Amino acid sequence: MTPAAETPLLHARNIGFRYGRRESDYRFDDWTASFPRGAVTALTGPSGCGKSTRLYLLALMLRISSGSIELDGERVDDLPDGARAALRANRFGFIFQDAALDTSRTVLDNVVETALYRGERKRDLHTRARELLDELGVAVPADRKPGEVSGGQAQRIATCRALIGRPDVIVADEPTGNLDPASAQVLLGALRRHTDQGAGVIIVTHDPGVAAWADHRIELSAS
Amino acid sequence: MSARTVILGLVREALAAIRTQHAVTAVTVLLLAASSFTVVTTAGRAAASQAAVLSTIDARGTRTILVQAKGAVEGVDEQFLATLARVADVEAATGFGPVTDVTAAANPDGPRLGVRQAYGVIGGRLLTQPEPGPAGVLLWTSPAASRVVGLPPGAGSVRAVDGGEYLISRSLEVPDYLSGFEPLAVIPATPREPGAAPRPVSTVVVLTRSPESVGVVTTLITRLLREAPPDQLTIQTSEGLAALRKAVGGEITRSSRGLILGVLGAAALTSALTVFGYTMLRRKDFGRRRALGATRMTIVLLIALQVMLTAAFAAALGVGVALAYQALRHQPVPPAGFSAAVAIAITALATLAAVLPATLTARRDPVRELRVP
Repeated sequence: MTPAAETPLLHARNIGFRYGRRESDYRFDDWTASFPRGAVTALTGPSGCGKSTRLYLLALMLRISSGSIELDGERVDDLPDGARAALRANRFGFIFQDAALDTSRTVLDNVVETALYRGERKRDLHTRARELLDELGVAVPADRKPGEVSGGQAQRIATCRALIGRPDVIVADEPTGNLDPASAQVLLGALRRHTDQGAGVIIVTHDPGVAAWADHRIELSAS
Repeated sequence: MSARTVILGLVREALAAIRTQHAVTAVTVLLLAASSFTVVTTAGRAAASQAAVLSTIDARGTRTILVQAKGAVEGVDEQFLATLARVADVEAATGFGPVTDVTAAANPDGPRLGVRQAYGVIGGRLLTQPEPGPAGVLLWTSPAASRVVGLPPGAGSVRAVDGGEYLISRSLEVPDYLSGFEPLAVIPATPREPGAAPRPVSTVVVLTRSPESVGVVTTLITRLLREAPPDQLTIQTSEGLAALRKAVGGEITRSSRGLILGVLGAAALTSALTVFGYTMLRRKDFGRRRALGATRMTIVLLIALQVMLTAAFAAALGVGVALAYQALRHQPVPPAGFSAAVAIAITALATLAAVLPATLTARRDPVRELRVP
């Protein structure tokens, strides 16, 4: 069933979160935000304001303490752990600040890793993985280990991993933070092509250029 | 998505982890192979000695019951044999008639051999023969019996001192429980005529399925032959040997049990510690997997499969090297069942021991794990 046009792809409704139980532990309350499909939304703000925490809450990697999170209009924050993991594998793509690749496996293995969590055969994704590696200009053989490539190349590989399952939502935590301008441009171009196909991208960034490039911007203040 | 695809995917991923995580694979293989080697070369040697001692005792007939009749005793006949053959605890029952002396037909003055009419079963072979043909009555002889009269195994003919001629038609392999009857030559019984009275036998040897069954079967035999005059009948059992067998088996098993449990416990503990160390070193790896969509069960299965496959290889290697070592040193090799049990126990325990650290890993917060430097 196609969601109604006005329904946001992802919606955080009055969510609250706290790390730990002490008063001094990080916390926020009553945060509401919508993330449309077919667009890039940037989360910006000073360090420590909770940008990454909100990103991981939206991606169902952390549990909110109040409020609700809806994906395509359906509440998903209260699902059991297995169902949340399945949603992450099937509906989300992730790009972390430091690429987070498995250095013991080949570039190709890294790109197709999430197939295992979706219950797909990795072999069936090899062709698409090679196309993505070409598209993002990864200039190393697919059988090479990630430890042998530069930071920029590693982040491009991580972007291929995020795109391989054609996710509805890509969450990216400062993906261009450690990249040279050329690599950053390639990565952002790939994300833009993905939103052109109807997906939503949420990107945490300190870079004013990236924030300006995004279609929407949510500015968080220090708590 | 099919369950087969998921399981094959997990197995492939576990194999890839085994290949790429050289250090943890090498340590696990080394520890578990050493455990398997230790069990086989210590407790396994004891098990081999036990098997040898028990085999010797068994060869003495721990499972046999000997019934001997003086002359034709009522009830000791081929019908009695048929009844015993139907008892679940009886593996074989063989009956013998009186002995007749024979010599090789070509050498009437040569050495004599005693031949017996035989009923029932020998070595799983039913003792029957067709009606005597022009060549004479058929005779089965053991190689030792053929040697006595100077004939090749399973061939030739013999003549009884009373003039009857027998053609040797088969070489007989004498089972252990009948070794006391060697050199054995038997005339398989002809089928009983319909309506004819059962033919009497003078000796019946009963082989039970286990030493523990001897008492029960002896009681049954005593009941079946309760009408026979006691002074005409002797029943000998091997209950004493059966008790000895039980005592020997129990003693060696007891002394090995502590050692086996100790080594298996140590193998399980080292497996748990190795897996715990491995998962702590790879926290970020498992955190990434969880973040990307791996369920807790996927993480537990991945780690358990990795340990199981490594442990199976290690156990097979340890057992194989231990068996080769024992053979090269001309020391007793444990029975195949014991070696297989050691390999399976080491693999199962190592895998079970890995489940706790694997579960702890699966329950960690992926965001926190991803931030591990």
